[in-house]
Order: sequence, then structure tokens, then C-alpha cells
Amino acid sequence: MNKRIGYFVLILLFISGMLAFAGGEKEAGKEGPVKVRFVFPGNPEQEADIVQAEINRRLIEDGQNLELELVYIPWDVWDQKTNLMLTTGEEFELMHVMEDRHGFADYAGKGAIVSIDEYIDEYGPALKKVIPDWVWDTARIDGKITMIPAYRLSATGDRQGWTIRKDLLEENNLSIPTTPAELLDAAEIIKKNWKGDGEIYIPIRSNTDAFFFLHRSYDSFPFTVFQKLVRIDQDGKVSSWVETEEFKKDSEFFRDAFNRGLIHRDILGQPNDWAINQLMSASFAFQPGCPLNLWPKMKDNNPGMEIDDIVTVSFNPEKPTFSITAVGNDNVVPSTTSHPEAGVKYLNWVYSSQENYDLHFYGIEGRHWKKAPNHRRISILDPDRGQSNYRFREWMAGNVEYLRYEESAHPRFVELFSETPADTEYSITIGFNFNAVPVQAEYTSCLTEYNSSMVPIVLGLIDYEENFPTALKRLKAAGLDKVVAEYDKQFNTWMATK
Amino acid sequence: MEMKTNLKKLPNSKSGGKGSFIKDIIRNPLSYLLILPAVIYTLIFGYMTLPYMVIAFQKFNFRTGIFNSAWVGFKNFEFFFKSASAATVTWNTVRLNTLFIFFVTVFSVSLAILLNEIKNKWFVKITQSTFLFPHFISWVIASYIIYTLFSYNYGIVNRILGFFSIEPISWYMTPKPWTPILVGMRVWQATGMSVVIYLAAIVGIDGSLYEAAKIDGANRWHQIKHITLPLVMPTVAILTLLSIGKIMYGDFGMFWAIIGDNGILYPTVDVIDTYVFRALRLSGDPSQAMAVGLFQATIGFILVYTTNKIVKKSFSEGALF
Repeated sequence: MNKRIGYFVLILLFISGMLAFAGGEKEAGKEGPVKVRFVFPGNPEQEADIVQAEINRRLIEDGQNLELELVYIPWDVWDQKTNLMLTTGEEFELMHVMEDRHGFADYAGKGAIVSIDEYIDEYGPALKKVIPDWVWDTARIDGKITMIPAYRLSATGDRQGWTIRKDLLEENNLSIPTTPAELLDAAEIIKKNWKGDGEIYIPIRSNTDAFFFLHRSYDSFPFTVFQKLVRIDQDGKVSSWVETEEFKKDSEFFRDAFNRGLIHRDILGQPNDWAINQLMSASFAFQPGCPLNLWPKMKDNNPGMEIDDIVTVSFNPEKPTFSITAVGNDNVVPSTTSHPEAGVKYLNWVYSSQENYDLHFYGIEGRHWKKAPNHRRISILDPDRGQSNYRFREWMAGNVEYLRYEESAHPRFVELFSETPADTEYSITIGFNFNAVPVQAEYTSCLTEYNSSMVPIVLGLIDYEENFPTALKRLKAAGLDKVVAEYDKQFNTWMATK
Repeated sequence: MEMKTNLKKLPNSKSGGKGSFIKDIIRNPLSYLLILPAVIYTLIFGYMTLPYMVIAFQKFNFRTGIFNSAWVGFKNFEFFFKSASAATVTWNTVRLNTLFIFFVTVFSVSLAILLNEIKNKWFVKITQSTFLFPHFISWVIASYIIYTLFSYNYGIVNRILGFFSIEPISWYMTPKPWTPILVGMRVWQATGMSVVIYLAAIVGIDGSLYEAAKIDGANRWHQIKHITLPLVMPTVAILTLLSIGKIMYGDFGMFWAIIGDNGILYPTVDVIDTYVFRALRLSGDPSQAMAVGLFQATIGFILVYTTNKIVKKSFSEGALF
């Protein structure tokens, strides 16, 4: 008898478990405003609740029938938590996507997100207005719009440049380097004569795409590198990236940097905040990319530094600016929601006026920020914490039309991120979204193997000639050729329909 | 043997019989209330999640759920088993966990015996607390401690080497020393808690056995060898069996905090959990994650079952079931 009850309870639990994972019941017929649960990475801002309440008050005032809930997911559990939410059918209306981590095409391939054309048509006039058509084209999977791009950056981005302290160059009687070799020579001298605390390096992180700035110095520029596995030339030729001469040159550059003591020997084991601390204190030999978003901190830590003391430049400036991606971040509507229109409606409301945008991104005017001339802003800092009590990161959903830079932002940073040079050349891959599902096992293995075997080579920690053959063998065993072939196939099919 | 006899003698421990379970609940409501949270936890996370295992054999589609996703057989296992790292990470997991189990057990039992021999209670308490303290330190903090010890420029170890005019070592670029470093860290972190358990088992040994041994002329060493060690062995066996069940699971928090994305160290310290985490952080495929989880659980189950059977045959007091 007892055993029977036991079995019955277990079967009941089993069934309830299955139902839970089968998608669960959708909220339906609930009265009141429709919830917009916006899921994104980060820790809750100190006064997120206050801003959320103000947004909701304004939404009601504007007759939107929406209720926003900001759902912060800590960075360290972002992937696991969102995957679990999607898998278990948890309802939420908007989710942030970082294309360099886990692209929207991948989510779409697994049925995790829905296409939103009809909602954009019906509820998205402001979205259509502030996001150009060519950017919308990059948001399509099989011709259907599947994400809302965060059109924050200009097409140039920052990856083709590198940043150096001009004051240190001048101190050492050096001019701005024009080739990678000159850059390493200059960096070595700067390091040798460094008068600040500790040692200085090129403060890159192990998961960095540090090598992009070198590509402008190659004759074969421009070309596109997808996920560090596939190279796509502007004539449409698809090949394996790591097997190219350019990958070898990248590796040799960093090996040279390592041998000159410019790459920290503990780079793979250092605490995560090391690189950012080096940058914030402006203690670096040079840095790939444009870390000038940290200029206010650099200035705080080096009060004597002036705006002109730091520059972001690129090799061969006469060559056109090359744009690889339209957007690096976007927001999607999960297939688990029973109100797929709600997220679109909310972002449309945000983009429908400067006031709404300001409230969503910077918080309450007068409490969290105040206006500054030239469409800039000044964050109001909490005296105890020394930082603002609310901010929604603009890289997640910002828009170039409304964006307000901090008054103290570095002018070069603003220029790089908000102006698109007229001669910009766009990557042939813009608008193409690789669906990894057909080669999921190989793709996963290749990405993992790249991090294990290739990263130490391309960061110069180990010698290319000595270690590349084994690393390539492992990458091939993981299925590199299959991934490249699948990319080639999908890309050619897409090109044929273009 | 003695423990089993005692259990049988306990009141209200009778099982079987019509309605005896319900009667037992009525008779001991507080005891059942005490284990209720654990029961609920096990039911939810141990049983309600079981159906989800089917996605290991599906091309899981978030929209169609587990009932309507396409079946793909063992395809999800391929990404792991076909990778060049499968054998390495499996071997590393088993090797490191075996070393962890062995050294933690040896250190804990030795320390528990030593502490039992010390008569100064204050000293015992302070020592025990000191050993227990690392158990409450997160691996993230521990990783900073390790970095302080082994960083190239300012690490304490390299400074000591420098004192003896030995060239500094790039610890974070040298895979071999990380096996002993990790074993050392595990012993540092886990010994304190195990000592508590072993000490409790030792304290529970009947004092008259020692008195009788003393009368027969046994010295301290003889008493440890012939009384303490044999009587603490069932506890050692049970704890080891429980650890063997998890031998295919690397302590993710530990490995990730200390090793992280350091590909150079992977040949010796990459374990299944970190490999899978890195792989799926990039691809985010729940089916593949489940496939590896199922593999770990199956091997763990087989190991526990086999070991238990062996233990039962030769040393029945130490068997788990």
C-alpha cells in the first residue's frame, strides 16, 4: 500500500516535471497592463526601482498599457540563467543579445526567439525611424526581422585603431608609429622609461580580439574574420582564418611583443580587473582598440593629463574605414512570451522621444543626471558611492539619434563612435547571419578548441612555428573544415539571393 | 556492525506494515519536519528534473519543448566525444578527483587522530577552527590568494626563489606544477570539514576499548593502529564512496576561479565541467550540456554501484547500501 502511494507520488512528480519543461502555461486573459520583462546582463542599479516606477507612471500616462520590469542577470550566470529561462518556458518579453558572445541567429536556429515583422509594422514606427533600413536588413533571418538592433555605434566602431599616450611618446622623443614594427619599438622604449608605479604592458585580456588593429597594415586588407574561425574576403572567398598568412603575422607580432616584455606573463591567469585597472590608470605601453570611454577615470587618476595627451590612431589612415558589423548588440523577443508585441511596443516608446530615451537610459533628470551643452549630460554621483545610482548601459539598446555623451567624454571617442566617414567600406558579410545549428557539434568544439590551443599562440605566449601544427591538428579534429564548408555553403546561398 | 545493531534497537525505526509510515509521522512529527526541506529539495531537483534528460537525445527546440523536438539519437554526445579534448578532460577529472579524495582523506584522518590525542581543549578548538576556516572562503578569494603566491612579477613563491638566486618561473604558463598546487588547495580547503566528521567518529569510539588495551600493555601507537583506525574505517569508506559518486564532476567553482580561460594549463587541469562550460558558454546548446551531464551521472552511478559492491563483499560495515 505504502509502496503504491510512493510510486504514485513519484509518477505525479515526474509528470509535473515534464509539464514544466514542456513550455508551461502561458499567462492569458490577465487584466491590467501587459508586462514587459526586459532581461539583460548586469547587477541591479541602486535606484533601478525608482526609475522603473517612474517609467511605468509615464507609460500609463502615455496610454501604452505596458508595465516594465527590469530583470538584471549577473554577468557570471548570464548564459546559464537565460538558457534555463528559455528552456523551462519562463515568460519574459525582451532579452538582450551580445553578438560576440551568442548571436541572435543562433537563438533563432534553436527556436528560442520569434520573428517580429508584424509587430514592427504595427507598433514600431519610431523604431523604423531611428534605425536605418540597411541596419534592419542585418536583423533578418530567412527574410524576417528577428531582432531589434542597438544602433548605437557608427559603422566604424573602434576595432581598427590603437591607443597610445602621446605625452609618453613626446617624453621619449618619439613620433606616432606608422607600422606595427615601429609601434613595438616605441612601446618598448615607453616601457623601459616608465616612471609610474609598477611595470606597464599591453593590457589585453585572454578573450580579446586584440589583433584586429593589425589588419589595416596588411596588403590584403580589408577582409572579415568570423568568430576567429572563418575569413571572408571582399570578393566572397571563404577560407579558414587560422590557416592564413595574416593569422601568422598577428601571432608573430604578439610573440615579438611578448619577447620584449610587453605582454604580461600571467595574462591567462590574472584576475579579470587587472586590464581595466591598467587602462583606468593610463598605465599602458599601448592598447589595441579605443579605451577612451575610460578617459574620465584616466584623468581622475592622472590629474596632469590633458585631452591631447592620449590618441587613438590606425595604421594606413589613407585606406577606407572598414565596417565589419552593423551592430554588435541587439534585443530579441523570446518565444516563451505570450505577448510578443509588448517588447516591441516598449522599445518603440523609448525611441519615440528624447524624454523617454533619457528616462530609460540615464534615469530621472535632476536626480541621476543633468543636461549639459551640445546634447551632453552630467551624471549626478551618489556622494557615498562616488557613482551614479542609475544607468542603463547604452551599448545594450542605445540609439545614435538620442544618445547623450557624458560632458567629460573624450572628443576622439565621441568622434569614433558617432561619425561614419563618407568613404566607409562595408563588409560583404553585413546582413548575413550564419546558422550554426547544422554543424552544432563541430562549431562548439571548434570555438572551445580555439580558446584552448590558438589563444596562447595568437597572444604570443607560445611560439607559432613550434606550436601551430599541433594546434591546427586539434582544431581540424574538432571539425574546422566542416564549419568553414558550412559557412561557405550558407554564405553563397545568401549571396545568390542578394 | 555495532552501529547496525544499535539502529535496530532504536524505537520507532520499524519499517513495513500497514500504515506504519503514517503512524511514524504522527509519532515523530518534529523529526519529519526537520528532514522536510531536504525531501522537498530532492524531489524537486532530483526527480522533477529527470524527464528533462530526454533532451540529451533531441535537437531541442525552445519553441516546441521536449515533446515536439526532433530526436537525434546520440548526436549531442558527438561534440564531446569527437573532440580532441574528451580523453584528456575525462582523465584529468578522474585523476585530480582521485588525488583529492586520497589526500583529503589521509590528511583529515591523520589530523583527526592527532587532535584526538591532544588533551588541551583550547588548543584543539583553535586548531580545528583554523583548519575549518578555509572551507568558508570562496574559490574566487582563493584564486586571488593563489595569484599572490604564484604571479610572475610579485608572487611570493618567485620572490623566495629569487632569494635563493633561482630564476623566476612563469607559473601561469607551466602546466605541470598545477596538479600539486590544486591538490594542495583542495586539502587546504576541504580538510577542516572532513576532520569534524572523522573526529566525531573517533570521539564516539567506546573508551573502555582503550582502557582494556592499555591494561594489555598497548602504547599510543598500538591503540591508534588497532582501535582508532579500524573503527573509523566505516566512516572513511562511506565518505569515500560518496566522493567516488562525484568523481566525474570537477569542482567547477574551484577550477574556473583558479584556471579560468588559461589554455596553456588545460593539458593537466582542464576537467569535464570547465570544458563543457567553456563550450556551451559559446554555443548555449542545452541538449549538448545535458548529454555530457548524463554521461557524468551514468559513470558516477556505475562507479558508486561497483565500488559499493566491492566494499560490501570485503568490508560490509563500510557499504553505503
